[in-house]
Amino acid sequence: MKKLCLYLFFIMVAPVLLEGQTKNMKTIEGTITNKMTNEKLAGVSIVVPGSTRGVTTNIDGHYSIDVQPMDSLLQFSFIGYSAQVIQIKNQTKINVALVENTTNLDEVIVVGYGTQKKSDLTGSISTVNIKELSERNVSSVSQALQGQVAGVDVSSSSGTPGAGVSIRIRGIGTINNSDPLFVVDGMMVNDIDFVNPDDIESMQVLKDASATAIYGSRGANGVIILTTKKGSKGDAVVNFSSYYGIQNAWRSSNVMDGPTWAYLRNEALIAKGYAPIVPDPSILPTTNWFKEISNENASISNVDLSISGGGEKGSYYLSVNQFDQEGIIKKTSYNRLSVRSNSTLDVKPWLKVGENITLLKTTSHMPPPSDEWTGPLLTALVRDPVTSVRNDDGSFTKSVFNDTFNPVATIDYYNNANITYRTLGNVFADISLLKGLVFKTDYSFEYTYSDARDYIPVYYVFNAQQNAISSLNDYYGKNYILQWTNTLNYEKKFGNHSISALAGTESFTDNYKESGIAVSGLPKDWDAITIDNASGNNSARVNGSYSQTRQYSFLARLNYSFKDKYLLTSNFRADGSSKFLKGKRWDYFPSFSLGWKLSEEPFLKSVDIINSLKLRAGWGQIGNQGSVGSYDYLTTANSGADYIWGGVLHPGYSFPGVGNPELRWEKTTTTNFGVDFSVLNSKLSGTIEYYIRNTTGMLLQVPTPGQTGIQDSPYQNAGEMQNSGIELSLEYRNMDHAFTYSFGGNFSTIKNKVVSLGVIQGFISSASFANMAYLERTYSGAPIAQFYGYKTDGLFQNQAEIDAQTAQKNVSPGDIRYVDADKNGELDVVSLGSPLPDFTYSFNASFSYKGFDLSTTFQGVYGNKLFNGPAIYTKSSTAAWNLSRDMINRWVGEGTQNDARYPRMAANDVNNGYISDRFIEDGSYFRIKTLQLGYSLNKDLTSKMHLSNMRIYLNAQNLLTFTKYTGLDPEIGINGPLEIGVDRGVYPQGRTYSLGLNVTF
Amino acid sequence: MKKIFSYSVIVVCVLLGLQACKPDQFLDTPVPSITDAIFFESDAAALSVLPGVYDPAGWGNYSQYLQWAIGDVVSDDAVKGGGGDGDQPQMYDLEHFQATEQTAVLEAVWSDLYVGINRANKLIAGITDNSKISADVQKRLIAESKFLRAYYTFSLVRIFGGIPIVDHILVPSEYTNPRNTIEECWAFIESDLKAAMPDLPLKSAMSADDLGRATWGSAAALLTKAYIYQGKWPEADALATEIIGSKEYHLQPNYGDLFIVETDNGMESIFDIQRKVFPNAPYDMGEATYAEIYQETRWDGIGWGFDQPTQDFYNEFETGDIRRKWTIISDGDTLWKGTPDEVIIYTRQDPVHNPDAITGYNKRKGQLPASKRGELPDQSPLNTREIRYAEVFLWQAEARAHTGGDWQSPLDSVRFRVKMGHTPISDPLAAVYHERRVELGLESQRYWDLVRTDRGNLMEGYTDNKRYFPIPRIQRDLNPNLTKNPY
Repeated sequence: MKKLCLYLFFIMVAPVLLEGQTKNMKTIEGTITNKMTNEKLAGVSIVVPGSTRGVTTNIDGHYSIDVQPMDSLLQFSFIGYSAQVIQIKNQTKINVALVENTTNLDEVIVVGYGTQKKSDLTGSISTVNIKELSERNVSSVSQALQGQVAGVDVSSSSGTPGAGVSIRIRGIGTINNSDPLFVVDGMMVNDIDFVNPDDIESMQVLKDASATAIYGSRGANGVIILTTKKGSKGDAVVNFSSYYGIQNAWRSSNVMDGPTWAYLRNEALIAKGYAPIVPDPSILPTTNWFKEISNENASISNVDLSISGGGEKGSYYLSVNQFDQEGIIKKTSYNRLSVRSNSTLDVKPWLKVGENITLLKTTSHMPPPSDEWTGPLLTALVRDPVTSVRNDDGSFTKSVFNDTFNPVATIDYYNNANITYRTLGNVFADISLLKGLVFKTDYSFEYTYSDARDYIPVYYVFNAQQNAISSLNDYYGKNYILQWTNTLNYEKKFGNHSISALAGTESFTDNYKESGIAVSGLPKDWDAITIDNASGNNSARVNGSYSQTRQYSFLARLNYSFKDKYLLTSNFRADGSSKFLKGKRWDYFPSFSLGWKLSEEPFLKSVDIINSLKLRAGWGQIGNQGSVGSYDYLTTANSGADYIWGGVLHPGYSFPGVGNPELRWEKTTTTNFGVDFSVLNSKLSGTIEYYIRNTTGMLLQVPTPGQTGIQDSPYQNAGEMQNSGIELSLEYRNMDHAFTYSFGGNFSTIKNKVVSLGVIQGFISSASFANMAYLERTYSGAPIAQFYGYKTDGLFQNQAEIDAQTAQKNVSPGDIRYVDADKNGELDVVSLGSPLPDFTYSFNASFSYKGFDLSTTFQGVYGNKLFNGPAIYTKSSTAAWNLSRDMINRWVGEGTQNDARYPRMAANDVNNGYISDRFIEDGSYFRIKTLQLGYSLNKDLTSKMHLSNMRIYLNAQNLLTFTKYTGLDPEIGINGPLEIGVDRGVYPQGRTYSLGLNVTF
Repeated sequence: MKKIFSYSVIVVCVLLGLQACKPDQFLDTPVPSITDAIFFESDAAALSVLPGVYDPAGWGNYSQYLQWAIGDVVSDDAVKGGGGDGDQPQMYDLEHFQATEQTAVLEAVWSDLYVGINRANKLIAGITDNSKISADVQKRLIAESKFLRAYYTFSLVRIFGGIPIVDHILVPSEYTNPRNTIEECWAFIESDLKAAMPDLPLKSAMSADDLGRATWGSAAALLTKAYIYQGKWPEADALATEIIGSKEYHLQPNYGDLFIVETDNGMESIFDIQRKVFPNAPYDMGEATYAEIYQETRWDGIGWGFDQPTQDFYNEFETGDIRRKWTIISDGDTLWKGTPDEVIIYTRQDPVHNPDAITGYNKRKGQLPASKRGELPDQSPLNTREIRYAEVFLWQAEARAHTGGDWQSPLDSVRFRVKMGHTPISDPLAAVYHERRVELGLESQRYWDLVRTDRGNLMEGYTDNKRYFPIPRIQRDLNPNLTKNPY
């Protein structure tokens, strides 16, 4: 009882507990061991099948569970071991020796709104190896997913500390929002980075419709289910882990030094008859701007402490985590402090309650916006290398060669701090109504308060880079999400038939409110920069908005298996969304899937080499409301369209968008085939899958032509897209000897095709760059968002070649020749390739011998194209900006060069700057993501130190990258639904070396 | 057990029942914005949409940049200037007739001006035959919208030639309408202005609170300008005569007072784009213009030094014509003499202070003394003079030079103000052209004056196919029905 008092959360239910000692119960206890090693196993879960009652073994492998007279079975399961079900009969002591199962096929995994034996799955669900994950030193859960699961593509949008990561399951399902849904301990959330990676117990990725359908529209792009660590019965387990490391950009800028650039700039000026900038470039100094904005040897550190345990009637888990990361660019950082607690309590034999709570504070200092005009990452590449950072008097320099911003000044004068406070949690209760019938209610909430602050001081660098009034912008956002899920679960086994069924309802409300205050005229003292110290605080400008979205759903699922060989899963979900007009709100989404455990058939049972073999097939439909806003079915007025008359500002309204009352659910239909196998004493296991995903009524926000005057393009249900692909996962493990090793690999192909664009004529243009052109187009019959521009055809070598064509005027020898295929005298805009890869792959390997372990993860993509945005400047013939080093190969006379990437130098050139294949590069890369060497102290030593485990390790992240891409980093993520593979001056990934320690006692 | 079960069942039913009772009602979320369906319910609501129709006229891309970049810099009156060739490369490309489909500012202007057209259409659609809006308000607001729609269309047509006419809120099937012919565009501009004129107030009848809104004179003057651009001389003469006869406008007695804040919406103003600086308005431009800082001398370390007058333009002024010093700053000129703002300006090339100066001149019109500028150096509160009364005389003179009427009297009206006497040039057209160049110098007119009078060859690099600028590639990507210009 003492321990129970700890559970302050359950003070309300304390009286119930006191009378909780029900009669007729009997206690069963025992010890669970590893059959091979006789090692006692902690954390094994023991449950009464068909109920929610269960316990786990303590550190000595011991358990004790109360059962009711009507209970006849106990199930013993543990990750990595074959589960066993044992008849209770009259026993009071049941000792079990579990057999290690390297294929994990009997592992119980979490599926939507419940759990299922992995071997009974009929949908496509992949499990992430948590053991390896915990050793990878990842800073966030999404990073942990990278390269782990076939068909899951994780790409960092930048190396900015705390930056978002885009996760795509089976490619881009829709032109719209393609982010998957995350379910953390039953709570549905749109991002996952609030979870401390050290707290994860298991992680599953639901890929096909039959697996995700139960989540309805919210699971349209796949679902990632996380279960966090829970306490287990027995003595408290304390775990401490920490690492510290340093990071540097994996690649530095590849632009020229001062003399080389000046030499080429001279050449460009002379070519157009201008005077050179300096007679003798060789005497000029060099400024490495990228180095000047870099924060070398940026630190990264993590400290994590958790305590878990449990008593007769419940369990608890408590963890504290502090993560700090400096950015590899100056004045950027990310810091996270989180506290997580969960507990479960068996209040009555028929009632179990519990909760999860996470409290989180993150602080980040972001770099100035990364754009293609004045962003510091871009200007660090393009500013001339001759100008120094500061003048002799300490002030920042102006460049005498061009008007490019001083990137060091940009960063110095930019002050940004984003602080977010989040509280997330859920409370749940499981009520056993009858044998096999359980009612579960789960109420979850998420409250996020964010405060973003920008302060700009008074400064003067030069004419174009100056600010005369200091200003402070404070933005506050409040997001309040509530979700309530109620389900009834029923399980029944009779003869060869086993059924489990689920039905329920779910409601969801998302409130968002934001406001901003901007004031000016602030004191210089950093601590005094507050709104009320602004000299202009009585003329503050304010803005604010509010929105609410709601969803309501009915859900049902039936699992049926016959003879434990033939499996059927069927889902049904009805979703209603407030984002659509009444009458278009509701849609219905069914799914079915079948499985056949071939290895259970007599004709295969005798084949020793095959340990398990299962065929699966599934079909299902899911709705998606994409990124449609809360009120996009309406044309709404916006303020801020102001004008002056009579010398007075008249605030005005405009209607920047067009509502579409016809908006309705987008629908994705997936057909999936899969084979799961495990052979050679279960040493080799794998999965092969093939799928086709068809999305119809695709919600598109199609850019509208300028002549419509529409400023915010409306959403439309238009078009149809198909993704198909093959996914292959293989794993080989050998644990037979002292030297153990395992290899794993994932390979996936994605074929994307836009089947139709519906009402849209022609094509969709997207990814505009510097207002020059749209870089990408989407046509029906072709993959989404392909690069478009002119195709180059070498360089004009002489006047005769120029005279032989009519499409290009005002060109000289050494300029790029573009293709005019139809010879109509006009250059042709043609497809220049797809930003989508042909395939992605990953590999991992781990070895251990005695106390040592070594593991590595590789990851790569192949066949995608990238648009190198900074190259528009750094490969410009004008040499007005610093040049990429390879421009030394430029054309300098007839026959010297015919590669269109290297035209002549010519000031004020326009011909060579057209958007063309010259700026489209191969984006394939292969990256050694992690390499880690660890050593665990042996048990004799640790037990003397009263520890149960101690491990130290060295870790390297992003150790090596192989790519032909000439920009700063080929891993640039997906910036928007129709903007893929566009590099606008990306914050590069860091290479990190760290040293870590894990201790359990 | 039974008890437990029945309690549980009750609890479950209550919970499920609570949640499932009225899902559709649950989904009826409040809409915190005002939809267009219920917006136009009062005169006040209609009036609150009007500022948005004027708003794009003041935006940065056109009236603060491209209008003078084409009108002055592309012409023979000025060169780009700024911080060398690489500074504002787009303006360099425009100036050297090497603009392309990718020249971004053309795309920005195309989009901005059509936003104005769309907003005008939205207001017209919202109030036309709407019983909740009083007849007077309907009449005047529709007329103002039509005037602005014509202004935006006119601005587009002289840059791009024929463009798609948009005279109503487009439905999706019309989003990719092709270009209309230039004749159709002129007819549309004329019909909008003719429709607007009778319903717009006279400037003299307008209260001070309304100054800056469109008047009968604004529409009549823009229509005259449209006639002039089309070479419709008799119509232009008649309408110019009517404007003069209305006695609504007067020449500012001192030419030097034309470009000061005090004469915003003044006696000579027919149509001003309104500018104002608000205290503590950093970041965005608010309602100011950055044309001034673009054109301010680089010598002071603040200005950007664009739009530098050429020697040829300097020489165009007759001896003793004071308009030169109010148009061009020469090296060593003292400005705002005798005031605390007094400053000597050095416009000549100087390796330390003004290394980029090219012509040795800077623009005078629009330059404000420090005390009249906003707190931020790039914010100028001076209204942009779109149409001023002196030009009406010049139109009248030009029209009569073609029709054989009395062209000298209107020219005299303009010249006498600056004490210049009769024009020394005997050829009527040559006299008018000269007078336009000096009177309206660096007021974003010259390029269009040259091309509409077939004198484009005065500009180096100009050929007839360069008259209209390239249709932006972005727009042709979005609307494949847009044909190219032969640039």
